[in-house]
Amino acid sequence: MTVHIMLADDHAVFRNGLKALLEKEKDILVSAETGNGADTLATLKKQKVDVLILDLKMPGMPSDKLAETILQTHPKLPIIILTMHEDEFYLKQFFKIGVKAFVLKKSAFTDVLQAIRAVLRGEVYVDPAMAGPMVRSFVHPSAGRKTVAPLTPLSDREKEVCGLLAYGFTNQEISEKLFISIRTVETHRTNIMEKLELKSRAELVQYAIQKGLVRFG
Amino acid sequence: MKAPPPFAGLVRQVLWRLLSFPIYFKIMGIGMLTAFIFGGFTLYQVRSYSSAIHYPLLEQRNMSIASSLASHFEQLILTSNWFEIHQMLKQEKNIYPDIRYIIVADPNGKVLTHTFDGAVPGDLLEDSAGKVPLGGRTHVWKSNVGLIIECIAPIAEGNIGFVRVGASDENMEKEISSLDRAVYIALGTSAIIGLTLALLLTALIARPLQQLNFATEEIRAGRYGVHALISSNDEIGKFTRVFNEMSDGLEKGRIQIQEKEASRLRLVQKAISAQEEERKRISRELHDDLGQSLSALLLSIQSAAQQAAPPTGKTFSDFEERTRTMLGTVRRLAWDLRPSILDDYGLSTALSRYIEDTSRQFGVRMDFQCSGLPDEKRLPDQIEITLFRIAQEAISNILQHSGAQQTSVVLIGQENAVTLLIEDDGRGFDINNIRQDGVKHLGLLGMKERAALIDGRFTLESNPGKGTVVKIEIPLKGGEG
Repeated sequence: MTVHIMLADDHAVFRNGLKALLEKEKDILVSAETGNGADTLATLKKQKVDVLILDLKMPGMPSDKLAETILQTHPKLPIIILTMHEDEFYLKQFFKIGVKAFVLKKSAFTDVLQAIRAVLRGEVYVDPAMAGPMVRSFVHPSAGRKTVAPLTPLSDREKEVCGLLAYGFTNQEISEKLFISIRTVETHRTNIMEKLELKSRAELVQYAIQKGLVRFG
Repeated sequence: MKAPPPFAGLVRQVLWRLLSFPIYFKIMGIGMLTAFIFGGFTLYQVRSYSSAIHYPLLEQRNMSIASSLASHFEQLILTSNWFEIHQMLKQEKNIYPDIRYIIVADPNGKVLTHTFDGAVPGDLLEDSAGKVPLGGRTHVWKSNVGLIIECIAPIAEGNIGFVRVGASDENMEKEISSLDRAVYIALGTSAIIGLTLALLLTALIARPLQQLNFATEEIRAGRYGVHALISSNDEIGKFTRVFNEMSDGLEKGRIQIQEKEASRLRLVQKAISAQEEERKRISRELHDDLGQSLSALLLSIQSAAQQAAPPTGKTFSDFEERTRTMLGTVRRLAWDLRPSILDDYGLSTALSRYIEDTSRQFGVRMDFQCSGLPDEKRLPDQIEITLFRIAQEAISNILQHSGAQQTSVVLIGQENAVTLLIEDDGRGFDINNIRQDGVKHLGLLGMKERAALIDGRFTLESNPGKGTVVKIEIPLKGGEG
């Protein structure tokens, strides 16, 4: 059984190179090639395709919108993103939309082949070069850090200072707002950080949002 | 403001004080002083003149009364007609009310008869002695009713006796006083007229000066272009005209500076946005063109490698590796020039990514928190790129100079503003020193300038040993917020 593959990439030289390599496989046939979003959609309507290899950026339409549109009409079509963008953010975005694989152009051709095989088996495939950053983003210290209940509750004044800090006021601005000295603000701040076991302003903002001390929007 | 006295010493100090009175008072003072000096002089003159006229007149009259009585009495005394004498004395005294007394005395001064009701006052008794010339003698003495002018005329060359006529100067004083009053009234009237004139004169001279003074104050307060009213063509008027021209010149200069500053800002803005556009373009081309070509090349190498014999295959895998390194370099260059993620997914995502990368790359603790800005919400392009560049600059400063343990970046979106806060716990610095040598801190100035271009407020807070906070607040116009 032959696998029909469609290549969507605006770079013809790259497409040709990839096509040449792919067609060396006995069971793979590159049955369609397109260089922009509109053509891709049009071709998909006319032709049966087993796997779509899609460039992350193509002229005309952002690829995330394109992928979404395609998956609405062809929900079963496995899409492989082939890109230069070595960025786990893009990876997350596209997996959210529903693509099945993410491969970097700098990787070995065998990775593309492995991705094709994997999606045909109904699995997902992530380029090994992306695994590191992806895992790091899960274990990133600020992501999903749980807040502790303070052993000693904040005083009313400390809550007030905490709120102002979370709104982005500087020490000087807080001292002017509350009519207290900068030194006093610094002391409050140190106490707040110690009581809440926080290390930075960013963590404090996160805490304040979770505890509803500040409201935005 | 006050110029130091150009003199020293007490007298000079006093002089300085006097000269420091407002012109208004000076002119009034001169007017009043003149009025007083003239008035006083006139009064003195009138007084001494009228005294000089009145006294001799009084003396002459008294003497003529005394002489005429003396000639009448010569016969009457010889005939001892005392009754007649007495009648005449009474008559004379009634005619001239200022005559206090008339005494007739013998050659030795002994009183023969008189006009007093009772006895002759003691002090009058002694005074009749002494030689009286033929023409008579006048002397003035002070009594308890005022000055008495006494004229003594001899009867029959003094062989029979004397007639003494004493008149007080009361009436004359009354006359002089009423003359004084008239002078006072005249003086008062002319003083009032004089003052009124002085007021008008003062207004004429001092008002234009006051106007000029107000105008000068306005200019000092920076409100150029004010005009003082020109009310004449005298020295002050000419001065005012030149002053007004100067004021116009200042205003023109101010407008020119303002225009220059505005065009400078426009230029800076143009330069910055041109730079950003250029970076974006180069970044795209690096990524899409060179990057894609290298990717294609990589595929070709892999394709060629499949057909090659093992020893050549080793060379091919070397090519592959080198091409991959080049791809990495291109990718990094493109990212450094302009992170595509900023254009594709916005500020919060780009910052989060940038901080994570930097933290990993330099092995320093950095964290990022965004609040009030949902991921899908995009800010205007210019605000996003400005805040991103400022964050880059601030973080680069922190990495180079602060020695911070922890750096925190916070992005806060609110209804009508977005705030970026970059805070570190590094060694900090004295902000006052920056202002002195701005050249060393072009980075800070650049951040400030960039923020100003999008109406942002740049705040820098730092103290030695207390870390540094850079804060930028950008107002969001309606529709963007």
